[in-house]
Amino acid sequence: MKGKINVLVIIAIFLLALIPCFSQEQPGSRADVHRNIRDNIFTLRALRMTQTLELTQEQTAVIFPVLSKLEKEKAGLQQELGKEIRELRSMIRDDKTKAEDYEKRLNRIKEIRNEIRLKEEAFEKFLESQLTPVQKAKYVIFNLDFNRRLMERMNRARILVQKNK
Amino acid sequence: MRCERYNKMISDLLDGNLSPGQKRKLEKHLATCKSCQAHCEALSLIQQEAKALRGPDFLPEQKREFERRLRASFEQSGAKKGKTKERPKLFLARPAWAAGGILLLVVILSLIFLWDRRPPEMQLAMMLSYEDSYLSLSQVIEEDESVAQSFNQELINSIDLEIRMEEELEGQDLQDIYEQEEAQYTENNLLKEKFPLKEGL
Repeated sequence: MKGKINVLVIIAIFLLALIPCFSQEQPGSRADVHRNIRDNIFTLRALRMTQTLELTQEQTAVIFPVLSKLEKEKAGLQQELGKEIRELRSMIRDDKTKAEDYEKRLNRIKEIRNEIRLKEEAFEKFLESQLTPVQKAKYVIFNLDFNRRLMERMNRARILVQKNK
Repeated sequence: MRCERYNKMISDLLDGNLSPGQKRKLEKHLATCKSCQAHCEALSLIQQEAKALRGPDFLPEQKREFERRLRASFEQSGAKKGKTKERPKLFLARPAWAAGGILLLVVILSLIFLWDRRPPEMQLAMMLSYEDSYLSLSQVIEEDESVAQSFNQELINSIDLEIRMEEELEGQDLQDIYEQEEAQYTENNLLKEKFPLKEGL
């Protein structure tokens, strides 16, 4: 029962966080698909984190609003980072790109990555203040496993697509 | 002209500043030059008499007065030429203070330089960054839209499964569930492709 309430709380918070996103962009665009992926990863991560760390209702109620807010900020930054990297790729393809243009683009990429890093560090500090030592230990392992599984899942998706082509 | 050079050498000889080679050269010249011989003898005599002289017997008051005047005269001449500067009396009077000050300055400067060069504390978030994983993943998604769609569908299935499992299998070990899920997926999607004969058998 406790678990069900946790899941409902997470989903409710997540849906509330998504309202502004749905109202901004046209559905079906490439950016829309990418945002859906990011949102789905976030939901899956939140669900698995709750279960793996065995978060209490009180912890969920404190942690998830912060996590949700942070996710929105980081998603925006990741979107911008993706755009900058796309630009960088096209600059490399283009022989006429000037050195100062590269510098400018690289500096922006560094800035965005730094912003993301600062947000992750800030969240980690906050999370540490909310978790027990066992939960902190579990969080470290959870992060590793989740990231690994994510990449494995992606590779499986690639293999499936290649098979079907 | 030539003797003028030897006269200088005679002066050096009496002061003991002449090299053996120059000394031999001078002696050779003195053997033939009467004028230089006379000059040498005169200088030698003056030197001997000067050494024999005793210093004047000054009273302590006179010595102090002499030093005072001499100092005043130096200061005055220095002020006129504008060469003397006001010395930093504090540090000159106390060398230990000066040494201490320099040491302190060195320590402060070292701290300032070393402060920024310390390796930054590595946060767990950076070691296990989800965002870095996401960045790699997003690059793959960028390349192929159908991979993105397929991946997204997998995520939706996983979320769905997660919610159903939460409802049905409360209390069961989650690690086992995840492993079962992956094993099932592998069996359904990958093994069939790898070992197609198995299915027929």
